[in-house]
Amino acid sequence: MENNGLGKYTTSFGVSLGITSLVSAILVIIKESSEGLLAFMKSVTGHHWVTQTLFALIVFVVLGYVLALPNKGQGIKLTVNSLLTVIVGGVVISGLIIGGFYLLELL
Amino acid sequence: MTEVILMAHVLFGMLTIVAAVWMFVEVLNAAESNQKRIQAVSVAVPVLFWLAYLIGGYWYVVHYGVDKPLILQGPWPFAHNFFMEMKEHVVIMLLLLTTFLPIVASANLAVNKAARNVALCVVALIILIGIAMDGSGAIIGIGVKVALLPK
Repeated sequence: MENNGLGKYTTSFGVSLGITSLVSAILVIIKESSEGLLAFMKSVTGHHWVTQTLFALIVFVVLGYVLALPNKGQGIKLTVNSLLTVIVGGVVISGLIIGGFYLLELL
Repeated sequence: MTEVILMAHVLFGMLTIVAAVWMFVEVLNAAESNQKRIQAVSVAVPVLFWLAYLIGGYWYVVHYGVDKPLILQGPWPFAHNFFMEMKEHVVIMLLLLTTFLPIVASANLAVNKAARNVALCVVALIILIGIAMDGSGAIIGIGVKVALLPK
């Protein structure tokens, strides 16, 4: 499959962005539902939100570089439309997960 | 002093949106002549947003503890329970999107249509989420204000 002219890091970090957004959104629900995890995240940096930010950045960077490794270092192959689906879909669904979760908590 | 911190957070957040709109227009009109400008703005967007994020994050961690109980006891508790809770987590995606921008813009967007489309989508998401975050911040601010109004 051709990469449609995208650089390997554009593809790998784009996919990483979509996945990290979803992981971060799911982490929100898990930590808000688990006092143990919330306490652990507070203990790591002093504030759960700071820990969540660092976690998301680490996942984003590590996954971005890991996804650039397959295919003899040329990175994963995706069509442009697939990459856009992962990025836009990941971000929009993550936003809906977070917004929906807090909306349900409010009701 | 806390007001200055908060105003700086809003200022850099708004400048991020302005720079992102600027980048969107530049990418729409991508040519060899504006490549350097596109790449400069693609770096300016994350720099401005990281400043907004770090300043806002400092204020949130250190000073928001005073405002939070006020909002919760006031007539607009949803300003915290929904808007602040949503904002503090959705904004992480904005951090990732802005950080990703210079990677996309490292390609020659004048000749690379694929990279140009990815850049436009990413910048559009930054603008839309940025406006949503700005509006959420305004609602949180009003949440404090209405809590302090005489009953």
